[in-house]
Amino acid sequence: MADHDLVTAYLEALDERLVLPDDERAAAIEEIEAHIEESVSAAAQHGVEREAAERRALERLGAPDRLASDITDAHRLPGHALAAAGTALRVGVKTGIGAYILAWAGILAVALAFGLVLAGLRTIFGPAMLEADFSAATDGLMPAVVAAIVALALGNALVEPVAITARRSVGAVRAALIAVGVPIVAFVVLTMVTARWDSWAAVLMASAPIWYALGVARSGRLPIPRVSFRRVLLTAIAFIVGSMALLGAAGGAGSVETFEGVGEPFDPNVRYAVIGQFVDLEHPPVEMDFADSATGPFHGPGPVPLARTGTIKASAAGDWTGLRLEVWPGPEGELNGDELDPSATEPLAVAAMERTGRRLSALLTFGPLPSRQFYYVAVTGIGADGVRMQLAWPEVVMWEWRGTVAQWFASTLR
Amino acid sequence: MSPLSRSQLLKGTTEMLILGVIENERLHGYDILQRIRDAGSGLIVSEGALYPALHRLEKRGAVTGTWEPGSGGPRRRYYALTELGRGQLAESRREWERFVADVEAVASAPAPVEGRNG
Repeated sequence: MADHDLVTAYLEALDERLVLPDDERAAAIEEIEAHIEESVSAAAQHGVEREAAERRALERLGAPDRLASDITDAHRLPGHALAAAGTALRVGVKTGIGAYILAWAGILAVALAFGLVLAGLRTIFGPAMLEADFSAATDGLMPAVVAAIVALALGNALVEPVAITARRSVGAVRAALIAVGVPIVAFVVLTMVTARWDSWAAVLMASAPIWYALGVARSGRLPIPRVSFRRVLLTAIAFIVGSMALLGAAGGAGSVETFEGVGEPFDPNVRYAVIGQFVDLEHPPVEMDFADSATGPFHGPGPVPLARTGTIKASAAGDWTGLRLEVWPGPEGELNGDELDPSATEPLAVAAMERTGRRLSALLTFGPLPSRQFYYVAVTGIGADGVRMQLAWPEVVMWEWRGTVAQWFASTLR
Repeated sequence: MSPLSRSQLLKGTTEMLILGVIENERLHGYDILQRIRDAGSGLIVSEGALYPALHRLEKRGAVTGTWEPGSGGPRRRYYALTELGRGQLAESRREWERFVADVEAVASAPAPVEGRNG
């Protein structure tokens, strides 16, 4: 019946627009429905046709948007704003933890599947399939993906419960959640999560506030399942059981063979010529004081202080001037037999070495690069012919860059 | 200047009218509306404004609402005045009387013989 559809459509529109807890919303709808019924019955007693009576009753009530907005406003009390903040905190913590667990479980499942595929390819095509080192790429990428998923889920989950608790329109709550939430999410992802970032991971991590805003703006229209602890628990159990089964089936096929050498003759005077030729590799004129604890591995965003001491042989003490300590970038990724970045043309940092008799000392500070883990430390000096040469055995310092996205951007701009 | 319409005068008095008609008996929304119309010789409270006002009064504790079965249809919510509501009604009436007295005093004052600007 068309007239019945008219009332039903009105009540459905009202139900959709009332931003109230379920019980209050249902009560308001029932009360309006009763009012329409009374109004129509009264009109029918005066000979008005039912359809016309219903139409008139709805017109008198006004547009459902306006009525819903006025009723929602009427239910708002001063304490509801504080309660809404509590709801945001509760839903935020619950959704954040749940989405974090689900996102990591999903990523690890994908990583496991990827590893199994590689193991399979390795079985078919040989060990060369697994020589690539994915650690640097995935170290920062995985937390960035998790952050994006958590931010999206968070934005999506907050709107409705906060709006209902605050008795505010969804539009107003969206604006407030974006204004408050975007700076918070930006602060967290830029300054509180440390990893080895590459450019993709850093940009994805920095985009988390955008994912959060998207979740808020499109809440209710995104195909994101609600996070429940039952679902999280079932996912965790399924993931653990699945992982154990897959690992058992793989039978260790995923083991990675280590580097075995490049198989070509190694001439340090050729390889490290950009720094300077070695004076004497077997009996260098300068002997540095060696300490295991000074070479690493270390990690952090830097800057890195490097203090070194050594002794110049008496026979060479008068032959060399302009002695200095130099730090050069190592190769990207693993060493693989080469301790210097082949494309390096100048040191990252240098410091003049102070001489006290035959004793040498220097202190320099360098900014580590997010893409490097190894740094080549050289001692150089200028001989009588004016050519700078390397005077000591080289040293490799391991410094794995780890920091926040904000520190990564600062390092990249340096 | 056009004369003030009744709807403009009614603006802001909806809550007082509601409290007034349920002062001595419990009524549901539709009946409240009818009583206002019947008693006010043509006073019209917007139906869209009635329920927000009732809910606001209930949230403030001026009225209480209870559900009772309807005759074959949805239940009716009956509203009754609370002690707080009685106090609010008395205060509203005093305010209204002062307002009316002030308006009458200005409206019935004799016009000056000469304008200030001559």
